[in-house]
Amino acid sequence: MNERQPLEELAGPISMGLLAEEVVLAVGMAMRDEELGHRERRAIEHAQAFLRGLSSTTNDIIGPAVLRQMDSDQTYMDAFRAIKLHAPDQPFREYLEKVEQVLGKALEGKLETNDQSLCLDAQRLFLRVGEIQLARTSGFFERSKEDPFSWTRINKKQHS
Amino acid sequence: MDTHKQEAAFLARSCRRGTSELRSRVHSVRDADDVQGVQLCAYISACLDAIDRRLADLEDRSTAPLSESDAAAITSELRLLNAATRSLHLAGKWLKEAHHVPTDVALLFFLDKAAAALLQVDVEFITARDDRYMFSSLALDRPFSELLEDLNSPLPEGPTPILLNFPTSEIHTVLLHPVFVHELGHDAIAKHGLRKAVFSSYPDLDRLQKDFSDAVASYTAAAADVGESLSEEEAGSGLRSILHDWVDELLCDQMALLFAGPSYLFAAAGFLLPAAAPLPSGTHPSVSLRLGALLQSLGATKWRPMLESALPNTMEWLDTVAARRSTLEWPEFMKFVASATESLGETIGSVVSGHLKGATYEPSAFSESSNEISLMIKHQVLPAQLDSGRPPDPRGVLLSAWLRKLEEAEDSPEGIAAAIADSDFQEFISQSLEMSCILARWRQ
Repeated sequence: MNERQPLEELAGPISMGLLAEEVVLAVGMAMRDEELGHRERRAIEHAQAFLRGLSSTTNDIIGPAVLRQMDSDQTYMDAFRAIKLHAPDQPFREYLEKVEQVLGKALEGKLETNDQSLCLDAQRLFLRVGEIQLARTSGFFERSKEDPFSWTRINKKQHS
Repeated sequence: MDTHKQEAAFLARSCRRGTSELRSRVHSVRDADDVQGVQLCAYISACLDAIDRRLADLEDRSTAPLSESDAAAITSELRLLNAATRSLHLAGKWLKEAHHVPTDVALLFFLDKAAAALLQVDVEFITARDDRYMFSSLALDRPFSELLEDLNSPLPEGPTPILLNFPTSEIHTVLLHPVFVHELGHDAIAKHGLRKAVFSSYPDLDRLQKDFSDAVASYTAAAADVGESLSEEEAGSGLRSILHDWVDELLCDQMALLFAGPSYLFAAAGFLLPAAAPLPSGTHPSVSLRLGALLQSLGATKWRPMLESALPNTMEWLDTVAARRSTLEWPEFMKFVASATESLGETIGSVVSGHLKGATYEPSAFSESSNEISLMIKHQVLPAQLDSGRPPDPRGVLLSAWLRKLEEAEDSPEGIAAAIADSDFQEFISQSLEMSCILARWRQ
């Protein structure tokens, strides 16, 4: 039975959540012109890969696997929804590209005054991603098993 | 003292309580004699140390003036570290089991060989009883290495701990041991990217992709019919999950069949068929689809003639069960998933063959010693050593055991259930496997 053990199932959300919070801290350091260490640089690089992964994913039968944290469809969809909730009125891929670019500037120490607003927005985005992952971990300890027969609910009307 | 600092202190203290308590449990287990899970203890200890280091770092950051975003991120990260510590407590229960679960030498010997073939790494098994009637396994390196990587710490070197869960009532049911090989298959898929290999090597992927896109539209429409509004990405993600889970199950079935031989067919029948409906789930293909794939593979691997000769009635019954279909009308997207997994069948077989290489159990290998083993079983002599002085392949012993019991039942399907119920016979087979394991180790 491919019943993913709870430990394995929690690993993705915890990992994605930790990454999101580290990105917030790293961007804050960059905004204050503080030197980024290995940990901060790695967080920003992973965040860029994360945004590129979301941006480039089509409805592919193989699925997204650009970043380890996005290896599960669940974590990928959480991230996708977080961005849709955060910037509902902005064209999805354009927004991701803007955020990825400002992260690149943070990494290179080339942030300008007019980047501040987007940096703050990026921090709020990743705080939202982290919050959703934290909710998923705390919900995990409470919830019952997801229904593997949910597809029959989708089919309900055909038989009613 | 500001609110953030107070909250950070509370969260850090809560987390430290969790790490401290778990650390005590790990130490008490690690210091005991004859314990399973030494490497698991090392993994847990490494994670606890890494969590404590990150706690100290975040507390240190909290002493400086913080922006609102920084304060929120630190608080959230402290909560995630608490969640991580609680997740490690889940692993702690396996350490508790370490004292109580009888170690089955025969099982571990058999699975050691299976792990070498499927996972291709050194392993340390941890067995745990499950009150649910379910077999499962989990290679623990992946979840632990992810957490340690996130906390900038290395994974301790050594064998990979593998957790084996089995139903409490089946501790000594040696004839069901091949089911564990299926479970190890899930870890092999993750470790070696086998699912991706299946799609990448499928010759008509473009057509399959097109059919998938059409099925996504069907999934979205069906959801809308019952008031669920899904974006294309959400529908694609949902359908992809179902398809990937089904492919994984067929991959695992193939790995178990090719490694263990037809013993897996009988073990799977004994385990799955009693409570199975022809209806699939969102995580598993229907049992009839799975059985059909196994029977087809037995034909391709040239086991079928021997089985039909020995057990014509049982094989005919299995063919009938495999041909059964659900009376419910499946929605289009489920029909796509069924059709796609059937189309992928041959590719799944070749990916598994390529992965197992020389570890596939061939009919020719069985026939070399099957008569000798059968004769020993018939005369209630432990088939622990062949005339050549060598130990028999445990796969040959298990298959001979199954064939013996099914012949005794006069080739009736009921014989599958009767074989599993015969605890005395299984004790006999288990002792044989233990003795042959000792012989094999002595000869090394």
